[in-house]
Amino acid sequence: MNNGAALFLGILLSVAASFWTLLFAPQMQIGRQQVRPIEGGELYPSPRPGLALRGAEVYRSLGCAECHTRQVRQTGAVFDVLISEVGTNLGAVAAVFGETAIGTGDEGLDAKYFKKLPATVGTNLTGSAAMKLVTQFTAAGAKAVPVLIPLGPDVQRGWGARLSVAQDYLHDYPVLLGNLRLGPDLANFGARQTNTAAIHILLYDSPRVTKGSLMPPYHFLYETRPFTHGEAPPADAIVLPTEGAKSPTQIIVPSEDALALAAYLTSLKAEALLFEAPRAKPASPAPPSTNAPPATNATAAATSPK
Amino acid sequence: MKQRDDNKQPQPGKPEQCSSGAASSAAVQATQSAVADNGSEPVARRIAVPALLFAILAAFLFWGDMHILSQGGELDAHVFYPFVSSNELASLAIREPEDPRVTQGRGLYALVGCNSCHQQDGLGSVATGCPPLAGSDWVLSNEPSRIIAIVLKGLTGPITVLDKPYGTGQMVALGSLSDEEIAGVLSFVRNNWSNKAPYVEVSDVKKIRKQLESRSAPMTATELIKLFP
Repeated sequence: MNNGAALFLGILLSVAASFWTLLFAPQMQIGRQQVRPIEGGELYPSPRPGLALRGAEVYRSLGCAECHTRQVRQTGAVFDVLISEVGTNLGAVAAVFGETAIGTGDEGLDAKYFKKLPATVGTNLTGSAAMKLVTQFTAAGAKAVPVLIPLGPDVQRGWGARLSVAQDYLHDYPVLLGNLRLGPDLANFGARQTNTAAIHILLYDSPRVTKGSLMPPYHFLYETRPFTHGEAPPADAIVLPTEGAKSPTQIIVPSEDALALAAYLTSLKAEALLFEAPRAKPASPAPPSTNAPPATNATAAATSPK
Repeated sequence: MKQRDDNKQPQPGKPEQCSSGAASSAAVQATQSAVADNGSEPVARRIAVPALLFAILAAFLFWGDMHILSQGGELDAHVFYPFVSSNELASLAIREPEDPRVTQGRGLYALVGCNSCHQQDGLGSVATGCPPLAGSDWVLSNEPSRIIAIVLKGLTGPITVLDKPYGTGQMVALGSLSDEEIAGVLSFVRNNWSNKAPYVEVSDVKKIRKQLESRSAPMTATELIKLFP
């Protein structure tokens, strides 16, 4: 050991450098993110209600994250430009297209683009190109809007309108991202499925809902009781549907754990519009997102605990 | 170097420190016979690091640097793959073209000095007795006549905003601004922060200016309520 001090310093420096860049600096950046207001004044992410917090523990203990991820990936984003109103200055609108006339016949621009409004006048555009086109159409008196189209297989599967970002997981500890997809991604499960009764049937026996589902049945979360068709089921019970025209013969009564898990699953929403996660605005104003369990439908009674 | 070699004379009967263990006894013997042949223990000497190693390290460093530049998202915590910069994200943000009146008003709000009392966040200041604009029931009332009058003639005396008393200070009259400018700054105030109220029209400002033409004293809250119920 001729150069023991140099060796020690070298090792210390290497370890310190990797600790700094891989642990400390990311913690300084991402670990300090806080709940912040989004459009509409709401704070995002909103805290989960108590029952859903319990459900997160059930989710964790049952190992749901072994087969389900909770992260939506995205490979890019492009813009479409839509025209909703042509306006009165058709000549100017035509000039934006680089054409001189906006005739009414089959050859005319309005037959080509504006037979049905809103019409798409540009696709696969970058942000600046889309804004340029919108500005041109606006100057010509038409009403044009840019529409953001997120790209990627996860988005196409309908698992979310945007990618998942660190802000989405602020209230999760531990963050159950998952790394294997034997089942669908659950980042936005609560946005897709709001019917608690349907969630209970899914948990009780998934292949009954989705053919070929690999999800094991979680019978032990429920109490199964016989059911005579025609009688009124107990308030907390869910009538188990049967295949074909056979009348149902069973009802299931969810346990505390099942209720908590369903509350947690309905609270899984990560679709807010954030700077780091641009998304298209929903076509209609979305209902205020709450984490309260959604109203149950009348036929299958699944009530929150009293 | 000779001196150092002399110091490392082998000690008979004591095995080499660095080669303990039964498995390496052959190595120990080889070393000991080498020591016996040469009369000294072998030592590690400094040799030059090959230049190629530096070249390879430099290449790795360059590649890593390029990778961070292209994929690192500017080391910004708000830039996630597949996005590469906050500029790109800004270009993807949905912007609705701002009304030119609001743009003008935003500039005036700072230029005229509204922000020195009402603050940039529109929350006012209790210390100077300056009421908030953000969320204020006065600002957001459907009928903008009262706030037009306040901007035109100034305001003095106590005023109750959102059930809290304010008004130890005095608001200066800004009647020297043009009708368009007053409409702009009020439209901005009515639609900034989380405020949402109809824009103030130039014709409204004209009307109030005419109505209060002969007046020079600042308005008071009670008077405003009486004038513009």
